[in-house]
Amino acid sequence: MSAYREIDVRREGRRAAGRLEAGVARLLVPRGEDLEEIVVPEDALPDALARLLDLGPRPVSPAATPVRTSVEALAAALEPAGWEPAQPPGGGSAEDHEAIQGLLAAGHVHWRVEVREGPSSGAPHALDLEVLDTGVGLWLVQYDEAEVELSPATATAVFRRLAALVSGH
Amino acid sequence: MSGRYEHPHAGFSLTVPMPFAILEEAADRAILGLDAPGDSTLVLMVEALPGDMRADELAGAGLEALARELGAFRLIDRASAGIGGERGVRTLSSHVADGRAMTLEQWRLAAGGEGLILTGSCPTLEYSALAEVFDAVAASLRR
Repeated sequence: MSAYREIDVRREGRRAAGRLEAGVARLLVPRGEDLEEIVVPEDALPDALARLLDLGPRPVSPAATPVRTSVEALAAALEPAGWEPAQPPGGGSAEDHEAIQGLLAAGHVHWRVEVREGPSSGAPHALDLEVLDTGVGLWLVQYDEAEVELSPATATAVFRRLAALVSGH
Repeated sequence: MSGRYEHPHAGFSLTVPMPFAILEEAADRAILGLDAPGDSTLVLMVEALPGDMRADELAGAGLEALARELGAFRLIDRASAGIGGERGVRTLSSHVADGRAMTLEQWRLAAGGEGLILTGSCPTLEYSALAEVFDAVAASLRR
């Protein structure tokens, strides 16, 4: 079996999945009730993901600072979008929940991309990127055991990470 | 090791980072390329601007031209940015050239009827490795 990488994209409870093999990425993407296959060369995958995730210019407030909260508080704030936290929920406080609610008040889209080595690689390894796309800009979602930090990010910073997921560096 | 480069006529200077080197110098531009085979370049151009054109207008005009001229052009980011101590506009876009996915990061300054455009261009799969180099050159820009 040849080496390949699996691609998993979750956006607002919907999932696109596929694989990257021999320099070609194939993704099955939900379109209404159907699935559409997207086929692109490996080097075009970051841009294809950017299109799929509607990544584009967003406001970035110079005053925006990271928000730290519990995984549980974030999960509660994101319900009922069908989100499954990547880490088990820990304890949360009313303040946590309030801070996150403030961030999400102007609307949001939550997405996560994971690129992992296929089972045949013999070296299971996964890279992922999770983002909250809100009315007040993009926020990187980064886990630290039962806590999670949301950091403001430009679309450029997010695209750099998408490119790194595919290139591996 | 990196070094400071001063254009002999155009009135700008910047830090040339390793592994880039000056490939070409003309009256209104300097082209930096990777000191190795590849398609990654940094180009700094000086342009005479009409009247009191601002950096945001310069960016708008430049992006319109790129959208016309480049295949599969897509704007990813456009934001006000500090560039070498001045306020300008930074943009990020992608396109396809000769069948290859390319990423273009640009910084634009405009003042006193003169525009300065720094363009970092590289194959998209090399972008995450080169992005900090592009940032450093933009931060080092002086005129």
